[in-house]
Amino acid sequence: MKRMIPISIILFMIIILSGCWDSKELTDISIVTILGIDKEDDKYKVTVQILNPGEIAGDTGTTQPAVNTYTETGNTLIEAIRRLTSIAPRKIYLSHLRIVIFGEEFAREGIGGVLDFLSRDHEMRTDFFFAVAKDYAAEDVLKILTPLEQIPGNNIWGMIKTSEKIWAGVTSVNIDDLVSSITSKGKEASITGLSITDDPEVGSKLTNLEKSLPYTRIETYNEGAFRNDKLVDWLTEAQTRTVNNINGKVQSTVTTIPCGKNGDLSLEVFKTKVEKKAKVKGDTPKMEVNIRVESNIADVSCTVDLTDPNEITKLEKKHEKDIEKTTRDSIKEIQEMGVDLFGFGEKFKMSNFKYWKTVEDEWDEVFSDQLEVDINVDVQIRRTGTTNQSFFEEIEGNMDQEEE
Amino acid sequence: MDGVILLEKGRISARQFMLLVFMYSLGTSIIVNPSLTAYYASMDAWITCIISSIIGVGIVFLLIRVSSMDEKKNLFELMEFALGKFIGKVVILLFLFFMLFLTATNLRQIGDFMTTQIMVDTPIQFIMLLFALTSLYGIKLGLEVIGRSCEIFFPYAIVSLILLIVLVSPEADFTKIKPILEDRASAAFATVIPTLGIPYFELIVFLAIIPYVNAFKKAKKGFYIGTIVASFMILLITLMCLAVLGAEFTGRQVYPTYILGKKISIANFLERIEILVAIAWFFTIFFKITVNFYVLSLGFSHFFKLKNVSTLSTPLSFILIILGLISYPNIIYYQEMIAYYWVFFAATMGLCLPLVILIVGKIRQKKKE
Repeated sequence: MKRMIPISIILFMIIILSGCWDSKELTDISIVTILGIDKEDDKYKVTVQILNPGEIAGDTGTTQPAVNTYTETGNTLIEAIRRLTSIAPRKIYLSHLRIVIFGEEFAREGIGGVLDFLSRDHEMRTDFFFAVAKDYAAEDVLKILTPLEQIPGNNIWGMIKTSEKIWAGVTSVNIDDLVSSITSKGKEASITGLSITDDPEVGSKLTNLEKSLPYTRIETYNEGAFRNDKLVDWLTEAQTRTVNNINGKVQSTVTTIPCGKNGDLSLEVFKTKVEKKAKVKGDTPKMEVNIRVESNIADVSCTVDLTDPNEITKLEKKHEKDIEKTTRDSIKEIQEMGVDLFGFGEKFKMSNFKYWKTVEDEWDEVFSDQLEVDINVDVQIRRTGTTNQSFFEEIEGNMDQEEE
Repeated sequence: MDGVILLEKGRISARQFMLLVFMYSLGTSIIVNPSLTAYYASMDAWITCIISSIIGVGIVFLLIRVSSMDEKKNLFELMEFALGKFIGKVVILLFLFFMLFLTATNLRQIGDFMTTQIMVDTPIQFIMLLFALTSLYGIKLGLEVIGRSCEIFFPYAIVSLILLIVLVSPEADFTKIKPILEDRASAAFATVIPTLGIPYFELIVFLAIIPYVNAFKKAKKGFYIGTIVASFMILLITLMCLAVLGAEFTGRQVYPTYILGKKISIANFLERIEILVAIAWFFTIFFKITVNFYVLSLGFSHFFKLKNVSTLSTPLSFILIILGLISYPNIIYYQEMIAYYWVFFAATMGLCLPLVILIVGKIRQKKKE
């Protein structure tokens, strides 16, 4: 009898410790990498892109694509996702989601309705990005197969991530950034745009990948500006980069100025520091933006004496003027748009709360009509790369000398 | 009174007592407080944390004064000593009711957390059963074993928490906590009230354990240190939640600390380690449940004049699971109770009761002299 107790305890332990109630085997789930959301009539139209594990893990490629897409509609996002079982054999698994793509039409009507599920569901993590399909429905983007990265989700994710790192053409927006931008009165969101070159139907076939440059491709297209949860306009490249610059999201980028008669000179920016100071003078809100850029000379196609420190100072001054001008123009254009993508309102809230309370409700108008923005740029050139003097002027018959 | 003092024969060291206080204080608050404070006090939640921990230290001071009246007596004996045999018994019964409720709540909390975030398809009953049975085993083995196992598991809890704070710090943006005390400043002070309920008013349970610490003076010090360090951890976690997630987002989450863990991403390599938070919470809440459960068993044994602490623990464990299941219909109910009502219930037992014991006890002591 005495032996029975330990034995029964051990048996009991085997039952409760050996298995996991919530185990999900790889063969029972469909791993979603991209979620596309459109509107169809009054319903949400959800498109998911699911990995085809056999195709990705297998050594020999078959004639099947690496991913499959399924589309279903529903009154809410989760309803549509669960309804997908009517066409997909396995349970949709969202933990490895990379991108959520909104169709342009849907984004213009407002994305607020779907964000709740994305932050409430326990399977959702916070590390996926958002994007808006320019001119197309999200469904069209999801169909397209991509080269290099077999999985389009990783491909788009990689494009956004890399662009953010070395070019600052687009930046990654994740769920908590987006939700806080949408709910905050002093900041609006801007989301990466994706455009499609040519026919999406062609892009959905494996033959699309048989050329070195696929016929139909997905490209990032600047960023779309949102007022609250609605897409209002697309930004130009200069505007997008200014927004990212002022929001302190630039890690590394390139700026180019004309130099000499026909040439250009590029600086590789490796460090940017942005300081925003909010001031209220009388009744006019004033924003002081100080941008400090540290850079290296990266590309020279003009005659310039790079061994002369005075010349370097001149180049710095020129770049400062150039950055200041593009920044000023872009800010002015965005002010006309009336969406505070820079979070200037937040700055006022932080530094001058009493003033903020008086303008909080009509901040969009104050932002576009009253706000004066003061821009100071400080460019520092640190190094010249591996070369001192450019050999450009030695090239016989180059344009600079021809004209002389 | 004869033989009652021998109810618990084991002794724990002052160090173990300190660690128990630490684990106990973090038990629920590490995961509940950031959301609660951020929801009501917005970006001033960290100020709320500082104020409530200062008051918390004051409560510890009060508790130690009570215990110092007779350091050999545990809480239940002190109640009988101060309030007399009959009223004492009635108050003990009320206190045990509070403990029953508190322990059941803790069990339900860990169950709710697991079924919301990690094991969604697992019935909550099984998670509660696992925790209750483990605690029950601890109580059967006695206070010494609880103290020693606390010493063993403490590093896991503290290392997980420190790792969480360190790894998530690159994501922190402290401008998010500005402006300080401008937007609804009074909310920051008003929110102190519900935060006091967890854990400071609950610390009274340690009065039932402090007589079994082998060095009373060191135990007093340990009581302070445990509470202060735990408060500091809560403050750091709340600050991180605010600086990483933002006040609004934190307030909207049920378990913001877990979301904080999800934000960890070092070089695209060290990520998806939010289970660190769960580990820290498993250990801290396990010791909270165990200590509560232990004091509950001790109280019942004292009340019924039983010879052994653990006599009633087995039936109690099943009552706790059922009570945990039926005491709240849903999590909204629980959150509202924590925000509005719990503090008054806890204050009755955690503030008024020790005050009454102290005042009446002092008068009695004077009379005797």
